[in-house]
Amino acid sequence: MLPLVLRRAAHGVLVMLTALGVLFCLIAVVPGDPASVVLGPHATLLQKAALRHDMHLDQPIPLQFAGFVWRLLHGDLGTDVLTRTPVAQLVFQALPHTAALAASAIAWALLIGLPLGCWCAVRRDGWVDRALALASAACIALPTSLVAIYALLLFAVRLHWFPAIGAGRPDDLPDQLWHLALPSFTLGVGWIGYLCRLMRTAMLENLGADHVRTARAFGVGEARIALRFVLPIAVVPVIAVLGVGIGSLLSGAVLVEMVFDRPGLGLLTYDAVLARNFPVILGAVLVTAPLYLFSNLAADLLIACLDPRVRNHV
Amino acid sequence: MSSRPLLWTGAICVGVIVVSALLSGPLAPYDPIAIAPHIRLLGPSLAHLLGTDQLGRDVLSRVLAGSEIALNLVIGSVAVALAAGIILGLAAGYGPRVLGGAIMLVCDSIMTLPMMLCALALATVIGPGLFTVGLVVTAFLAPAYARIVRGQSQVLVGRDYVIAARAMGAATLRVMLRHLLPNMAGPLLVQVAMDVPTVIGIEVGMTFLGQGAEPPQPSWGAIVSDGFSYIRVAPHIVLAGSLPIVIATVGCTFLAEALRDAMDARQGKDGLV
Amino acid sequence: MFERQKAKTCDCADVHAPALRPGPENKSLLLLFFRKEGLSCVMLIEIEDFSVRYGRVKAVAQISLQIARGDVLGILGESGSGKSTLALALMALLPRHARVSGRLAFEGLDLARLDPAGRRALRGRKIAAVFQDPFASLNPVMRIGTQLAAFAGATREAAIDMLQRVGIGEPERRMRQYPFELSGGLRQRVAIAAALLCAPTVLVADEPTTALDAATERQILALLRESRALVDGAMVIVSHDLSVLAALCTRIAVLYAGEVVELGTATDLLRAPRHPYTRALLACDLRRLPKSAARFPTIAGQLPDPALPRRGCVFAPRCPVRLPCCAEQAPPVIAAPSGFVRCHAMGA
Repeated sequence: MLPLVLRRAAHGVLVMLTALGVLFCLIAVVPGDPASVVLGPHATLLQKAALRHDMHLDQPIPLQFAGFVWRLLHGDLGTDVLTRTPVAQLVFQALPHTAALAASAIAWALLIGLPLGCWCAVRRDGWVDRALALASAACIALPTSLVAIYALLLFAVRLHWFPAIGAGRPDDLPDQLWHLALPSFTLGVGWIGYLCRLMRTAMLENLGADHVRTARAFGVGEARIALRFVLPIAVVPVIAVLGVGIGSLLSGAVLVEMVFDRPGLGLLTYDAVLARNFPVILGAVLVTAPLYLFSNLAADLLIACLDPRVRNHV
Repeated sequence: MSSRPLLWTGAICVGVIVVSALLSGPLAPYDPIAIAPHIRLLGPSLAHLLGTDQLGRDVLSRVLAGSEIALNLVIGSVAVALAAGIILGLAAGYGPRVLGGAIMLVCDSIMTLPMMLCALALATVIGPGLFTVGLVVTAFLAPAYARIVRGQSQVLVGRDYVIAARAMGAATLRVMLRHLLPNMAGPLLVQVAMDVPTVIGIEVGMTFLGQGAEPPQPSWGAIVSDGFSYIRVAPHIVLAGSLPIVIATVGCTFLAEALRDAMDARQGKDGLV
Repeated sequence: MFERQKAKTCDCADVHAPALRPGPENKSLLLLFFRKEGLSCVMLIEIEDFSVRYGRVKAVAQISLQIARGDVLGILGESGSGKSTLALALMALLPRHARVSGRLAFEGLDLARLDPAGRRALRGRKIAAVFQDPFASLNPVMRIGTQLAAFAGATREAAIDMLQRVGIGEPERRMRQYPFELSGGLRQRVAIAAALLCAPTVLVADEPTTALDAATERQILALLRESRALVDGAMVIVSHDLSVLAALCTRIAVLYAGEVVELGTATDLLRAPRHPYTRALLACDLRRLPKSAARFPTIAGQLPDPALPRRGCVFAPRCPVRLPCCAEQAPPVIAAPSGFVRCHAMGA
């Protein structure tokens, strides 16, 4: 299994490097100069030149990128222009909150979306299936910010079931979990719908397969077939999708944090945008890279555990 | 999932939005950006069907104008993304394998980046505005189209009628245009229908964070964002702003599902054993 | 009137009375015969006027057959003949949307009238199945041992023993392996082992060797032959290949467009086929062609549309010895030495 792990890790690294490269090029070609943006309209040419040098913007692009990757490998994400603190420090302070939010959103999606998807597949074309089809489509369709706003209004402001603001007292785990419940559910709603549909499709494909016919021919009950024979196969595409969905998850997390006034990458980025603090924003984007590699690898390992064919056919 | 009612519901929703966008000028009872502070924060009434916002502007007119903005944004970004995606996809499918591999790698990479954060990064550099939103959206939608086009070209290139056409001497470009593009239309259309909610979502999110539409532009995101600040005294603003968003996004998704069902049925995936 | 043949393991004195198309006069004659002979032999499987339809398509049309203990019945048919549907019916595995008429009784129980739970209780205990494609018939992510335990409820020791008996070497190692680590032949042996572990009364095999290469096919056929001793009941083998059936079966029923057109022993069918369709099938067998032939023999025409109503003999449009009455009247059942044939042209 080790060659498989290494190969997948190498692929992940390649994808991430390319992503960073694309981001780099995008920032390089768009009109606008980060240095000027940071310093504002009243900066002198000299100040701009000095800052450009500081931000390595005066080097040719490939060199910039190489240096940038080099610094990234050393954990250096740049320096905050306003407070001169390393961006890495700011980002890693904010990251745990966002990571907790993202992880619990995935948990909601798995806990609710997977069983619902199984149910829809087994009770195909029943009224539950049809109703959930519509509900899933709605979940996928609605923008995260809108869902967050309404969740906040309904459950926190109107009904007072959940707190509206913040992440809870630092050392009080139950309090933190209570503060986490609503925002993570909001973030997870879209994924619940998506995983429900995905699971349903995967299970239906497998429920019609020959090996399931064999199981039926030997008198195995439908429930046992669904859980023991089909579920381990059907869950593989779901895990694959979650493995590469970290970017989308973080995207939504930013908005949810803003709406619920939670600390995390969202607030960090928002403040940085207002202050035109470009290195911080870039750092927030860059922290996606190791997160992507990690989640991708975790997903690959999980799939290898579930599907022995993957383990053996590198 | 029966696709007929789904198709009609989706089509009607999308139709309503498109019509309201095209006719937003004549339909709007008031000027969407005209300020009238003496009638601020009024609830819905006969004079103002959706009430007024914090600057006394008629919300209904703003919603209609927002439809036009949304339509322009969607059409603009999707069109450019489609063009770029199709070209890249064809190049990847028909060009040298190395080029194909490189293009697909770039596409995969873009799809892993967090859209919102990149949008914010770009907004910092370029400045806020709907153009930034459009740029980000285009950059993030194009890879999906390129994937579809390349996938279809690889499937179709082995099909008999393409081989026959090429054997009869048809130039590759001509083969592509005549045979491939009509077959790609289906999956691309489904993907576009799935992407429209994404575009709208990004616009709402960016504007909510202050980096999207600039005041006084009455985009839907702006209406919701403004309304959020006045939620306790004037909840109707947020509701009015959310209504077209929900109609547009859910309608497009229903349409996409119905289209996908129709395509699957045509390909016989639902066929009897 | 009816020929007698010694049955192999049937206790009663007798005979596999040829199956009759139940018309009022036939049925009463049969009952009279049994009462007269004092027979109380109960057939293991009785199929009377049995039809299966999917929507407008009639897959199986009024089949009547009887299968007794010790019988190995072969069902010969091309694709579209309804043999797979008949196999599913015998496995008690017909899908929910299949509309059944007539009677298919297993040990006296009418399978069609049974509720799904009742059918499920029979599968894997009294009725066992072996399917065509060994590459797709086993769950790809479960170990062999786990699947054998799940299918037959057998202990590990019993499973290992059975794997040994079906000719799989190193059975303990194989128990821990996954299907993709086994060749097609080995997988089919595992499938047969699973079926035998149930100690079934009836074993139904649907094209068990079609997906295998010739050498492996011979091995699996030998295995199936040996397995006859392990099945205390009957076996039903479905195939499109007469040589496969000839190697295994005591009697063979020839299926065309959902109907049984001829029934007889393998030797009788091979040496003296009576029905024009059987004759044509044999003539098309490449292995029986003279050394060099200018063209391959075919049966002209196509299968009839299964959704249309039938009139007269179903093979009439393609029959070389077609008579005027064939298009109008359904062919009668004519007794043959080891079974029957349904043809107007076989006037006794």
